[in-house]
Amino acid sequence: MNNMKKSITLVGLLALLFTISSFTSNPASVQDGGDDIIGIWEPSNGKARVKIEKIGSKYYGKIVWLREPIDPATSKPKVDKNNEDEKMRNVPLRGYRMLKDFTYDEASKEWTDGTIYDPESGSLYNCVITMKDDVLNIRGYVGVKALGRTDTWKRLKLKKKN
Amino acid sequence: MKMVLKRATFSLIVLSLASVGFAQLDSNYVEEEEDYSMYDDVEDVGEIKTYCSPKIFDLSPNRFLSLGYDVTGSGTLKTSDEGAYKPDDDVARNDQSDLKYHGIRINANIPVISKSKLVWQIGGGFNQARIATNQIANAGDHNLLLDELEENLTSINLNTTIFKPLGEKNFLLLQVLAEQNGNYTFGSSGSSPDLANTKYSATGLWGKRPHDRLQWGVGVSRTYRAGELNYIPVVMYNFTAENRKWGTEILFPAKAFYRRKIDSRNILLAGFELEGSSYRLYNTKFNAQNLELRRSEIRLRLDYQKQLKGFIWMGIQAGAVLNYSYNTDDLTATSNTDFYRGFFGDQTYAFSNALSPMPYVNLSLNLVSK
Repeated sequence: MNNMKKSITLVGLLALLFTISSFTSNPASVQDGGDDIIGIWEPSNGKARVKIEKIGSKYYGKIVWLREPIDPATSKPKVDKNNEDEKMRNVPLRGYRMLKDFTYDEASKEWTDGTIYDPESGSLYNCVITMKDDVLNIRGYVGVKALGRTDTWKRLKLKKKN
Repeated sequence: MKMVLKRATFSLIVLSLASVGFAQLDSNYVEEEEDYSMYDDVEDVGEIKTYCSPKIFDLSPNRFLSLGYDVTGSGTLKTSDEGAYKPDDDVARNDQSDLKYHGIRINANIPVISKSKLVWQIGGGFNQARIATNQIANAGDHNLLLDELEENLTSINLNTTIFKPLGEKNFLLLQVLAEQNGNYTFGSSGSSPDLANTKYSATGLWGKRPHDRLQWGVGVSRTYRAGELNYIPVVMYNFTAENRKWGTEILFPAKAFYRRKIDSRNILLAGFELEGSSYRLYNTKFNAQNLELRRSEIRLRLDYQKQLKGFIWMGIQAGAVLNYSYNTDDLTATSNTDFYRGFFGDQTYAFSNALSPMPYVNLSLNLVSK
């Protein structure tokens, strides 16, 4: 009986250790400078607000607000109608993840290896992000960084409700 | 005992799978429902200025790199003898030949600075017209001119474009171009280009961008598009209809197109572009040794642009080349420096020539940004 209890305890301990090690080895749970990007941001054209969050070890940004949420042509909420993939053209823009797969490079202080999607043209660009004083410099480019354009996004915060 | 061990093992597997699953969260991660109304009420933390974009919706793609091939059908070139012909003279052009040309066109346009508050691009181009004619017997000056043309007309240019937004609605656009045009070659048998013959063009424009579907502007241009030096007003009017199916792309008088968006990967343009330059004719056998061919043509065309893959697009143009100028000036009287005749000047031409319309096709492969 004692042996049986020991076995169960051992198995339980192993399971706990395995779980803990999995969580701690997951970069998602590690706080580093990369997490500074997490928050709500507004592109310079002011047409949208984008919530950047961390999922797993990578950073993603989804559209959470649109200045003009209704498509005047259809009188319905805007969808991703310019997407090259026909199957995606009915996907609502609000909630759309336009920034994907960024990882933080501690050495260069950049979020790299990600993509940015421009819903207005339906184009997907390579992208690198830098941050200074609550302003993001978001550079979308074609193949090499030289062939690109940089936009600036400002950080927002939710107003406290009374 | 066995039962307990089995349960423990099952627990271990479930926990392991859960932890592995958590570690592999990616873009397919299913999110919780979110109350988006909470993002209506926000306040700024960061500070930025808002500037108008250099583009509007659905403009035909901006070309970073373009590799093209241009070929015309046959037209008829009629020439005068060497002489002095006022622009309004009724000139006898007794000799004529068939003429056609083809050549490659390579152009690049690379952003140096491309930010919200300033866009600065530099570019370059190599365009060639390899001319073929059927020379006629004992035609004197006519054949000498054909000899010059058959050396081929080459144009190499460097250019820079600056787009400076002045706020959310207004902008300035400045473009400067330096080009070396002529029947030169880089081989030992031909003539080398002379930097003293470089032609400079510039356009300055003030514009307004009231919304995402309209951009207009007015300005002035020093240009050789009409073949010879000219100073002209320019009007920009880029527009996209509310249904985003059609629009215009106009920089008059350089070009004016109606745009039809078939879908986001296929665009059709119909309209015209004025192309032209002043070409130095080197080592001529004429009396005049400072000859400039004032070549200008209106290209009336249909232009189909199609996305092949990603940012690689192809373009197919087909239409007619309408001659605007094929006259020739002798710059000897002005000490080999260019002069301004404009639309109303009466300085004489050394040759008064005319070229009939001819069909043309242009194919290109382009690396673009939309």
